[in-house]
Amino acid sequence: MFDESTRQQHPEVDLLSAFSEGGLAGHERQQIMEHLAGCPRCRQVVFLAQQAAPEIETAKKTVALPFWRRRWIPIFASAAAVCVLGGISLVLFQQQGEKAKAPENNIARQSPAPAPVVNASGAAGSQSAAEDHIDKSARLERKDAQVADKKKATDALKPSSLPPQVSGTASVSGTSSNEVRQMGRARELASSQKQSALQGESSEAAQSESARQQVAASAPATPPQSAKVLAAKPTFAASYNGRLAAPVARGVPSASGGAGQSAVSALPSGQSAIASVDLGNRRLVLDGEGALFVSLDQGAHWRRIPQQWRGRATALILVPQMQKETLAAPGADSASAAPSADQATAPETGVVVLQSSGDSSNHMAWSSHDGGETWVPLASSK
Amino acid sequence: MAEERNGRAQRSAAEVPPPEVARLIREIWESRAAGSFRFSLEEFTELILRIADRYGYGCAPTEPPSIPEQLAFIHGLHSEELMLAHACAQGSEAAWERFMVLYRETIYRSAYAIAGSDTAGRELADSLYADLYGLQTRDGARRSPLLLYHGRGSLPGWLRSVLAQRFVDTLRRTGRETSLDEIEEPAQTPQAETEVSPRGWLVLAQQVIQKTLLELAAEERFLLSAYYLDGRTLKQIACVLGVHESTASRTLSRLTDALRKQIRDGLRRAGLSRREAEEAMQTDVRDLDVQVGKILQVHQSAAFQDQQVMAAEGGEADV
Repeated sequence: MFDESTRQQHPEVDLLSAFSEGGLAGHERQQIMEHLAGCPRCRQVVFLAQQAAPEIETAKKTVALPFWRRRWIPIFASAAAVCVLGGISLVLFQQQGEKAKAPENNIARQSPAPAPVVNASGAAGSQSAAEDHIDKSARLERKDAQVADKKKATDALKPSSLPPQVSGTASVSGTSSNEVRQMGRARELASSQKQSALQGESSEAAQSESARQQVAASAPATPPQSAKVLAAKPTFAASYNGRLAAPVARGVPSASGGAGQSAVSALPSGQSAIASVDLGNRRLVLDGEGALFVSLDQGAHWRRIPQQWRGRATALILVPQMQKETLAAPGADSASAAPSADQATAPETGVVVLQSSGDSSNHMAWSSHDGGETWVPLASSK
Repeated sequence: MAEERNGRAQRSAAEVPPPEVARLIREIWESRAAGSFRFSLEEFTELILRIADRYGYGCAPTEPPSIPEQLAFIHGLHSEELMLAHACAQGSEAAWERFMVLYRETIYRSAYAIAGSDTAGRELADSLYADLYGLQTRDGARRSPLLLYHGRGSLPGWLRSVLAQRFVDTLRRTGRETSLDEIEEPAQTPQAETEVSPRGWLVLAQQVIQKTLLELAAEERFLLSAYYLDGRTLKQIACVLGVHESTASRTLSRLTDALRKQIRDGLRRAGLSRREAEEAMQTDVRDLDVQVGKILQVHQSAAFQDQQVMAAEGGEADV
């Protein structure tokens, strides 16, 4: 069967198959390798036999992947999955952060410092009721503020040289303690609050995100003798039936009631306005530093009003029908604060500034009836 | 050497094996249920010892195998398949039925894969199947190729190798598809020439290449032969060598780089300058009269000649 010339030069088939299966070692393997290196016939036999071995082929395919790769592939896959999940979480976190950042920025601009809760009636029993209502209304206002913030954030993306931003609101209303209890249903009457400023028949929840800056005050049926700052809470209670620094979107005229803004130039301080009220042909603006500015030409030019209080003003309130007598502080200087009898019986538009001292625990309210030129203290409280 | 091996085999068969070896053989015989093929312990021990002596326990012939080496060799034999094959060769019907159940499909599948066609594969498998059954006779007795199975590798692997060997021999005998270089006698070892031939550094390059190839290790020459002469893929070579394909690729790359460097250094040592050596390395291989195949055949070991002689003297038939 064999060619006689090559018969005695080839290893046994048993050894060739053992070599193909890795069953030889040392001396025998070296011998077979030596022979295979120079014998094309035996090489062909070995390769053909190996080619016809499906199980060996399968085994080689299994071994084809190195051990370190088989070991690290699951680790790499897990690490990749963690990275992908981390990236997705980071993106979602950033998106949520951006959403939450806009209202926080607005709130920060609107209320740089806590403002007091003013209760004009001074009735202690009405305080808790008013605070309950304030919490309710504050929650409702937050929802409204979120909608407004979304709109504002959308507008902020538009490139424009807009006037100083005016934001922040506080509602001012004169309500009695009994009437404060009815504030729950007064939200529907918010649109008519301008006509019932001192009547106190209804109250409203301010439509702004500055729920923390609402001033709580109640006005008795008869003109109150004094206004009192109840507490310095971070959440401001709505009290006076008026508006100050209503959160008006850019370029949108202010609501009827005086608060709002129109196209104005930049403030001399370079700060953004946080509150603005319109008093006929005068416009008062409070900037972020607590400085008060007045403009006689609808914001084209600004003049700073000398500050008569220490600390910084934190809120500007427009009281459309404020009576001088009712807002006169008992402890105020009679020469400057005591109104005349004529003024006491003739309600007119006034402005109230809430002022906070440096330690933010002492707050005062100052009122002005001459367009912000002169100010008299209303009340103070720690 | 053949006489020495044959004498040692006869001496070992006659002598009593060491107790450890005898105990191991007995354990294997009991665990493999050799009794089902009518294999007695004495017959099984004789067969194992004959195979062990035939291969010298897998050790180099210069050193006598130690007891652990003997035990390792016997333990590494495919003893169950060995008993089955020899039982079939001796005409055991039970063994033959079991062989058919286990390996008939293997034979035909392997034949199809080797021959590359169903017709040639079936013809090849049928031929082997008839021989395995013992249709060939010598001196009036059936001679089955299964007697040549010694359990060094698996029985399916041995069957595939036998099929491949028959197929290759058939091709070489009748087909004439193979190159004449492959059936030529091995080339003579080239004599080192000290003088530069008239053709200059071209002849010098031939001498350096021949010398460098002759100095290669067996596995390196096998790698070069299988890849460049036979055209085998790296995957096939890696399967035979038992390494990964990338390992074979890296080995081949390192080998060729080392060959270039050795040839370049050889040319420098032969007196060529660096520039001349570089030019010689750029020589067209068709201009070189170097028979790489013949050079690589020089190192064939003569050990198998002894084994074939011994097999012929022992009366074992060729596959």
